[in-house]
Amino acid sequence: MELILEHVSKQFKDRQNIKKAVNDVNLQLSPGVWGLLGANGSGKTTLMRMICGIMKPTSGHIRYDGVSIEDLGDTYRDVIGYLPQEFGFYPEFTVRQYLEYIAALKGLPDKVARQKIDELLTRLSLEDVYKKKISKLSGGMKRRVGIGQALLNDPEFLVLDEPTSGLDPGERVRFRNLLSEFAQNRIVLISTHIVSDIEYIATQNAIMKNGAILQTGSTQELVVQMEGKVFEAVINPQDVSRWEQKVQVVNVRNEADGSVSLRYLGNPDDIPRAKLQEPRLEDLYLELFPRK
Amino acid sequence: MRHNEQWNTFFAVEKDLPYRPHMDRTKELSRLSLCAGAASRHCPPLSFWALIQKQLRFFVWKIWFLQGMILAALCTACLYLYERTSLYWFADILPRFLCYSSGIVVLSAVPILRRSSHYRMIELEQSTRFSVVGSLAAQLLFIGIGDLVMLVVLALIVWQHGLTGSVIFISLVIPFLTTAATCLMLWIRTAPSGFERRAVLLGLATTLLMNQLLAWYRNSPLNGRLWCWYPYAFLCLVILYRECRKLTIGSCSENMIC
Ligand SMILES: Nc1ncnc2c1ncn2[C@@H]1O[C@H](COP(=O)(O)OP(=O)(O)OP(=O)(O)O)[C@@H](O)[C@H]1O
Ligand SMILES: [Mg+2]
Repeated sequence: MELILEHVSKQFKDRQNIKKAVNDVNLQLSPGVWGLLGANGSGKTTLMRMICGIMKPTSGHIRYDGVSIEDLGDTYRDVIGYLPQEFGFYPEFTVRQYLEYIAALKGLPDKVARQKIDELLTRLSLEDVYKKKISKLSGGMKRRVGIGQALLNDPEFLVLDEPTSGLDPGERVRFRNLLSEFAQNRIVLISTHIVSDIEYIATQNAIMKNGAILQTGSTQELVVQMEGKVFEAVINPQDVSRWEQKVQVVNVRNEADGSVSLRYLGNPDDIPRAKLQEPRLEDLYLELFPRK
Repeated sequence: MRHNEQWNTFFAVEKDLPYRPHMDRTKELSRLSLCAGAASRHCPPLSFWALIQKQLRFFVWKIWFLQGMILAALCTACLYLYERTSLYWFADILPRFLCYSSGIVVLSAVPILRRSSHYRMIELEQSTRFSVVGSLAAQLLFIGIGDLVMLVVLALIVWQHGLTGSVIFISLVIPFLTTAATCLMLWIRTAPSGFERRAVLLGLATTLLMNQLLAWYRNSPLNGRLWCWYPYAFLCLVILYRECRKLTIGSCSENMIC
């Protein structure tokens, strides 16, 4: 099972301008959890839409197990599950009706659909709300319904566009565990700006900037390049804004004694008595997408 | 198992292929995907007709209720006009009324067809087995049946009050086909934002234009020669068929999504 993107580009015509949302992307997705990281507007959603066959690339090819996804058509759509960034629903649907509607569009026979819906309602802790209208649910609950619909057809290839936005920390952890379990022998592609959501579960990451893939690799492989660049220093609270102007700050933490711990990217002598830290994916993200 | 045997036979014959490691990997991948595919499809998926039947439950009452309300309003207006007008009614007002009614019948589909993009379901629907085409085709089918019933009821009412079949054909069916063809062309070619406004404007403009055309026709020497409308009606039907086909092969859904 393998999805290959070859020189995939997508451009939009916006009045006179031509905007390249995705620019010559080459990627080989194999089973495991793939994190797609990138700042706003870097082209993640556009790339995912093309991967799901919702948009056609302006140029390039997308192949699943060697066959173009356009040629595979409904056979390909049968094995994918997709959660769009903007999760929509018809306001009159209850949670159960919504899942039944999507199950029908996914071509699941009645009996299979019923079993799968019951199973997912339990796994996503939605048993108490299945009779409620989706419009009456909280944002996080809606997101869970969205994740549920993506899993209905037991997809070989799951594409989730910012699945964790709106989930509380407890649900985030449950979601991560669910995904890790689900990803055995499957491809799971998750886009997010929340680095911590994929740092521990992604077997591979792809970092996108301005429509192009900058880097790919496991978290360990990627963070190696940040070794010797991440430091932490203890400073006075009133100095925070001064240092923020001078170094790229990753994190500011208030300590019990009133001082402040500042994690930053740069050199050890940028701030006196700074200590070298283990790099994390978030540090690399900030190096690639510095705060303005 | 059968698939595995087939692959084994194939690779046994093709023993001396170059790039052995590459071929082994391809073989393994193909095997895995075939086995996974066979395992996951232990029961056949829904057929397209089964999908349409299932969609009945989700949409049909909404569609037919809306069309029923519009039909009731049109019938009431028609009977009201009949009671309030004289013989002149037959000659002028009723054909005009039928022409406007045909526009309203077509435009009654707008609130239904915009739902998928309005509620941001279109992207998700597009990623499913039947794609957005499945749900739209089902909705178009129900809308079509509803439209047909509306046209037949309106035609029966005015026919009972003495209007001839040819006048009904020209004043109701021809404007209906024209407005339906133009609105369908607009719908599958443009982005969903502002579709309602554009569809209503186009529908109104087409209806007004048809009204003028028919008024001109009634006063021209061609009046009464029904045959000259047949090629026109045929053309509209061809356009409707082509647009529906375009929709069902999915070549327009990207325009409709973004
Ligand atoms: N339908 C469209 N028409 C024109 N431009 C578009 C369209 N869709 C996306 N774009 C442009 O393409 C670029 C990439 O957009 P995209 O939504 O893929 O980014 P993203 O990485 O998903 O951003 P975010 O993190 O905010 O969701 C943006 O500059 C956007 O304005
Ligand atoms: Mg996005």
